[in-house]
Amino acid sequence: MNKLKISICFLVLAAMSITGSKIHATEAGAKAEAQRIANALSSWGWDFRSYYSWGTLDEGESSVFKKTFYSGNEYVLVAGGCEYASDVDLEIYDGNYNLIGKDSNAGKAAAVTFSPSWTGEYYIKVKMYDATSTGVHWVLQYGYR
Amino acid sequence: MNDNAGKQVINRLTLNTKSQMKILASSMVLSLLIFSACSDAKKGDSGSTDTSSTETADTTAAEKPTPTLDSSATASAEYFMPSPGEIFSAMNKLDEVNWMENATLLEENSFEENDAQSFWMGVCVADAFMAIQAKDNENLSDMNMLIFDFAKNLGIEESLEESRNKLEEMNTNQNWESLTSGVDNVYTDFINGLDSVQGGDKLLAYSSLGGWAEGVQVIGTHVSNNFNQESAKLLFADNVVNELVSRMEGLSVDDEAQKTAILDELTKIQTVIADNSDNITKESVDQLVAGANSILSTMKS
Repeated sequence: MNKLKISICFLVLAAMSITGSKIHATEAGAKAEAQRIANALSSWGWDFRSYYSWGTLDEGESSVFKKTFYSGNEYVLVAGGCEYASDVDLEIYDGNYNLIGKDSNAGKAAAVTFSPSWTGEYYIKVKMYDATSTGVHWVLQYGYR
Repeated sequence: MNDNAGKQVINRLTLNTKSQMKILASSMVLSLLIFSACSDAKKGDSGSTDTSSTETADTTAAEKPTPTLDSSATASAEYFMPSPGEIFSAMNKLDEVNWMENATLLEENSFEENDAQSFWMGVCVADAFMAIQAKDNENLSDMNMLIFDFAKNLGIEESLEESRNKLEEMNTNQNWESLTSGVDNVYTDFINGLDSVQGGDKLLAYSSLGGWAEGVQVIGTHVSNNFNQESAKLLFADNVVNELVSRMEGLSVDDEAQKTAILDELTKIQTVIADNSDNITKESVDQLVAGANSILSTMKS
């Protein structure tokens, strides 16, 4: 009987470990991923804005932003995905939709640096190339110097 | 009990014990299997990401389509408003500017309406960034104090307390490398604090307007007095003005006359930019400065 109880305990523990292992993906998780890259880059003289954009995407989906970049500055953009993100890509286009920078390497985070040739409107595309769930959180932040 | 019976009893006991042990062992194995499967799932969310990323990296480079973008994707793209610090940083690389010469440098918060509080807070943020460019501790400290005062009047001082104290500390230590981020953190906390204020979107629009008007006024005045095309181009980013117009148009305000006056100036500025961006002249820069000053005057009254 005691042995039966022990085996039940093992099964209960196993059941708890199943529920305990479910990761709750959040904006905070995505922010932490982007911040990890930003912190590393900050030591190289980049001023990162604490202001950031965020959202959720399904696999294959993208979010596009437009932003004015000033010639003379260098910029770095960092996108991070939460625990359910497998591959986040980042693309930068000029106002004529010419691709001028990208990070399409596999990984939860992507980073692109570039120096705008002219002051004007550019487009930033965050793509959730691969994910293990739907509604995956992502964060986009940028720095300049 | 003969030996055979005894053996049978022993066998049965052994069998029962063995059965129980088998059950126990099976349960433990099953439990361990389930447990290790869960652990693999945990690792798999990052580990299989790592391994699959290796596989994916090998296949992805060949499989990923060529990145493209067109107008259908950008039509509803959200605009990422630049920080005032960006234009000042770019300007500083192009020319030597006496930043404090034409900065407004408000001395006190004498405004009552929330719209005005936000607008002038934006002006003070711009002046704070300029004080950093000028390495002017005193004016930076004054602007930091005023920004906090505006936040208090809007009831969001708690959002800024930490970043404001940190900025003051960095300023005291003359930690110039970090001060730009310090001011930006204060501004970001202000923006986030507005989420809890009724009409927060409107106040955010006014603070953006204030920061932009101050930037155009200061940089424009310098460029007008020391004209060169490259510096002037920083002012002719029409998308910032377009965004400001779009935000202002959508606002529900108490003072419609004030809003109309602001929109009129912004529209004039849009026209100046559209007509002159291919060949910027000193006169067109002066028109931008006049428009920005007009908006600053409108908000003072």
